[in-house]
Amino acid sequence: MSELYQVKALTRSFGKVEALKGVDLAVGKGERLGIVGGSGSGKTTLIRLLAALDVPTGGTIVFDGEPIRAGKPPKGFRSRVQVVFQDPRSSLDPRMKIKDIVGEPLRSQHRRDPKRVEQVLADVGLEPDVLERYPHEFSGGQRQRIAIARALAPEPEVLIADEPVSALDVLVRDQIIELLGSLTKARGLTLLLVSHDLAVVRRLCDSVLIMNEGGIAESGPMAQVMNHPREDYTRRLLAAVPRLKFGPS
Amino acid sequence: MSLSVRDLSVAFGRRAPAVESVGFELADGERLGVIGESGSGKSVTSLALMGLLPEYARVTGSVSLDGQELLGLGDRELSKLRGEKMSMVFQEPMTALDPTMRVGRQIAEAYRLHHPRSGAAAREQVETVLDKVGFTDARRVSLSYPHELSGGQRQRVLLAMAVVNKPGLIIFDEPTTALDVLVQAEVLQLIDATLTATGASALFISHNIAVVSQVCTRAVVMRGGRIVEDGPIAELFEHPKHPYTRALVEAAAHE
Ligand SMILES: Nc1ncnc2c1ncn2[C@@H]1O[C@H](COP(=O)(O)OP(=O)(O)OP(=O)(O)O)[C@@H](O)[C@H]1O
Ligand SMILES: Nc1ncnc2c1ncn2[C@@H]1O[C@H](COP(=O)(O)OP(=O)(O)OP(=O)(O)O)[C@@H](O)[C@H]1O
Ligand SMILES: [Mg+2]
Ligand SMILES: [Mg+2]
Repeated sequence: MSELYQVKALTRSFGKVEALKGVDLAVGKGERLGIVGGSGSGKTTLIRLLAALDVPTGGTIVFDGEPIRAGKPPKGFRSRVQVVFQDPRSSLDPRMKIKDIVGEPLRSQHRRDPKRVEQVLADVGLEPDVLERYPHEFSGGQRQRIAIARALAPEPEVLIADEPVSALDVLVRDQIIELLGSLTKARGLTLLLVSHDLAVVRRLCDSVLIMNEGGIAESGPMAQVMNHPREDYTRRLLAAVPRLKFGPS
Repeated sequence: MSLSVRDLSVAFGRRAPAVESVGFELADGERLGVIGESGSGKSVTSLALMGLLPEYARVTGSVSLDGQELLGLGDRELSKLRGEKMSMVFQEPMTALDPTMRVGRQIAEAYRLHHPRSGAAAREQVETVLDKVGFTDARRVSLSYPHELSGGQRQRVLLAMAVVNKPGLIIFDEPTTALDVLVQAEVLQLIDATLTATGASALFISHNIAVVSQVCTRAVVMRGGRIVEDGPIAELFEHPKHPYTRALVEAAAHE
């Protein structure tokens, strides 16, 4: 696998808060990396930097051989890399109709493709009647799927997704997992997936990064970290996954 | 407090109703889980109970809290009830917080609404309640604006606001989606302790069926605006009758 991201000694502080304390990371082309960790451990901060939406306090990020300088991505970056944000509501423009929201990344590539917009909405389980509606007219999980559809519309090389299935019931969630899984296989989509749901990460990713208090507690191939965690923090995390108290017989 | 919902329907514009003839009873101190499909009407049902739907929503049926009919109450009466007798943890924390106000002040104001003349006590309450939702840096958090917090931190601030007045009914709408499993366990304990200490009743909406199985004694399953099945948790999960419930529970059991 050739390297897509090379990250060295990455730090990001907000005043006295050190959100990232020196992260080193390499992501290969077509790799599917899960990012897991405590609330406030720096996951969103890290991926915002990788998406060139924020400027690091220190350290370097190289994307496909070119450095991302002070938040300024290399040419073509914005269409190659798409992001699904943790809070879908605030990432969807309330004044825009769904057809325009999902069509926007296509338009910025000078494509007008209503068929693609409908297709990608269908892929996430939404009917064509959503096209003319506005973001506030949807449920939390529907908004989350609209955000996924928007990111997938321009067929990006890299999908950075921050808790993209947290508002979905298990059945719709499985549909999205399958969709993302098939895209990574068919098109070699590189996936950076932040999730608190270890089952989701386990099913979609081949490697995993466990973050704790702004640093990397542990990382490695999925099976190794899940089955033979080295760090106490990882072990506690795995043990705390809630289990079904009653199940079908 | 007890809650009785009868034949509740909600429609937006000319589209098919988002909630149709929903009915359930919540006994004093009971914890009722609400599970179901994305878009099935769980949040709209809770917003209808809280009187927080937009003006253009048409709501019919009956919602009574300890015998008092809530549908048709005016804004003043409703906002008095909210916070004091019932509160809600909203599914999307960012939209429920005021972006221009430090979160500590937002919690203090929620507290003061029902405890007038309590300046210093309110400030003390803020840190106590933030400690309880798992913050080790309550002071820093209380001085932060919403955008300076992580997703899970904002969710916990909302939880703190919902429990600070010890209301008799709390509606939790996906309260732990942004929390890691360790903090989630801590927060579920807080929810349990709060409900036990105050004897409050709860409506607990979650896609996480394992969590519902731990928190609730009974649950309703929603799909397409209706309740398709309800019952005690053990029975519902061990012997689901409706094919949709069965599919949900089996998918969850396979993890
Ligand atoms: N703009 C900001 N100003 C000040 N502090 C910030 C800002 N953004 C993030 N932080 C702090 O940085 C830390 C890391 O936040 P981040 O959002 O990266 O966490 P996270 O791992 O995504 O957590 P979660 O799982 O809860 O979403 C937190 O303590 C947060 O309060
Ligand atoms: N303000 C609104 N205007 C118009 N339609 C709405 C509005 N709010 C919700 N709806 C519609 O009502 C239906 C029920 O939405 P609701 O938010 O209750 O779903 P939910 O069960 O909470 O789903 P999720 O699990 O995805 O949050 C959905 O089809 C949604 O599109
Ligand atoms: Mg985050
Ligand atoms: Mg909802």
